[in-house]
Amino acid sequence: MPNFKSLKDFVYDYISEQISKGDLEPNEKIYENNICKELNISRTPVREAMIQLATEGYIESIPRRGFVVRKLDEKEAEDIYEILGILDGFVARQVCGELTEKDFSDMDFYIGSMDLAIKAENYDMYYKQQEQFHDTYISKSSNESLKQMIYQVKKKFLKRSYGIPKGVSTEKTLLDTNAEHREMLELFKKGDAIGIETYLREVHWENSKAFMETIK
Amino acid sequence: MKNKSKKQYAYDKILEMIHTGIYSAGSRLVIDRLSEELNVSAAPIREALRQLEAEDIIEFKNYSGAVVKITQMDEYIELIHFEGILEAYIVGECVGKITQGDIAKLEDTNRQIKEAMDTFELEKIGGLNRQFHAVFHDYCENKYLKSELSKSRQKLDIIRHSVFTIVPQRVPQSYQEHLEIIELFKSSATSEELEKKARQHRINLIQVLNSKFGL
Repeated sequence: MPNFKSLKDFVYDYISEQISKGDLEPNEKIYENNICKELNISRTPVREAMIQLATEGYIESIPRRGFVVRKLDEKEAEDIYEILGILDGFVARQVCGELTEKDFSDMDFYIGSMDLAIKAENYDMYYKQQEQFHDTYISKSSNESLKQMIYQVKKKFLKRSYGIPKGVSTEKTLLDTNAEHREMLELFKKGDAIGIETYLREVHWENSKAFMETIK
Repeated sequence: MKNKSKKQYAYDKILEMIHTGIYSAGSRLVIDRLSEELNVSAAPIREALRQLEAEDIIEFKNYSGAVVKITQMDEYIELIHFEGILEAYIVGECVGKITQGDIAKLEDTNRQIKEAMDTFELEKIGGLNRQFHAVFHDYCENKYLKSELSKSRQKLDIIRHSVFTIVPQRVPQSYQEHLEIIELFKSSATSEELEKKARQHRINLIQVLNSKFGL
């Protein structure tokens, strides 16, 4: 078993992972017994984990139904995009001067891989490459609190797999997003610290895009 | 289940004692003693301590047992830097929304800071400073942002004393910078200008701390 602080944390991570991957869907009931069996863990830590998840808004307790996965509403999704814009933007500005040629070439590689993944409709791969792309610059920050927060907010709230029914609109949206990644790379290469911060806040994490998180 | 609610009780009480300084940074938390003080058995106390450890508020040290963490200065600075970024954004967002009444409140609080400066009441200034900044928080509509701010505030509050007791030279500087922020609001500055000013306000504090501690 990985090095978790407690059984409750282990269960907590397991359930939140299932939610963000889409294995547990909005409005779907969470069966405590199932979790106990799947993880071979007793009821108490499972119950505690669910209470923590409910406090944090991942799931809610419905009378006569039990715990049910919450759907992220639009306002919440917008709020999260707003925070990510601030934090991601700030990190990018902070580390702008520290990126090397190798970093640029890595980011270029990820952009290319994302294009391929989109065309192949392999959205899991797309997501992974996108994470790598952002990690390239975020990992350069020396501020642990900042990095942790970005990581946690993304992990908690963003869709891990774009398992949305395929269609032109998904492909177009993701291709547009990848074009933004290209623009970001250009700003980094130019060393435009303020430009990259503004771009992340006002374009990449722009509010009106938040609806993507609430689909399905 | 009984154990769980006792654990919660123990957790709440211990945290309260840490915040009010009964157990301060570096203090040992002895299970037997806590068990007596809170009238709860050892098992829930142990669970509560585990949770506090997970939240980075206490740590288990060899030969000492559970000890309230002493936030290292560089960690502290990192936290206030982080808090500063979020706060500066909130200040910028107040542009166009802040009321005359709240501007007056800011001016009044800042005036009280000046008065307390003359009598060197540093802890009081800390409280007034908190009051000043809190005016902006009320305008924040992003509940996640608000909760992140309060979480980092909680961690910073473990250090019982106001930062002004550590670097008192910041008081007149802080007072002046507050005046400048108020002036920007009154002269209808943009969100960008306010955010920039608020960030600078925090960076100035960090620079003073850095030079004091040789970081």
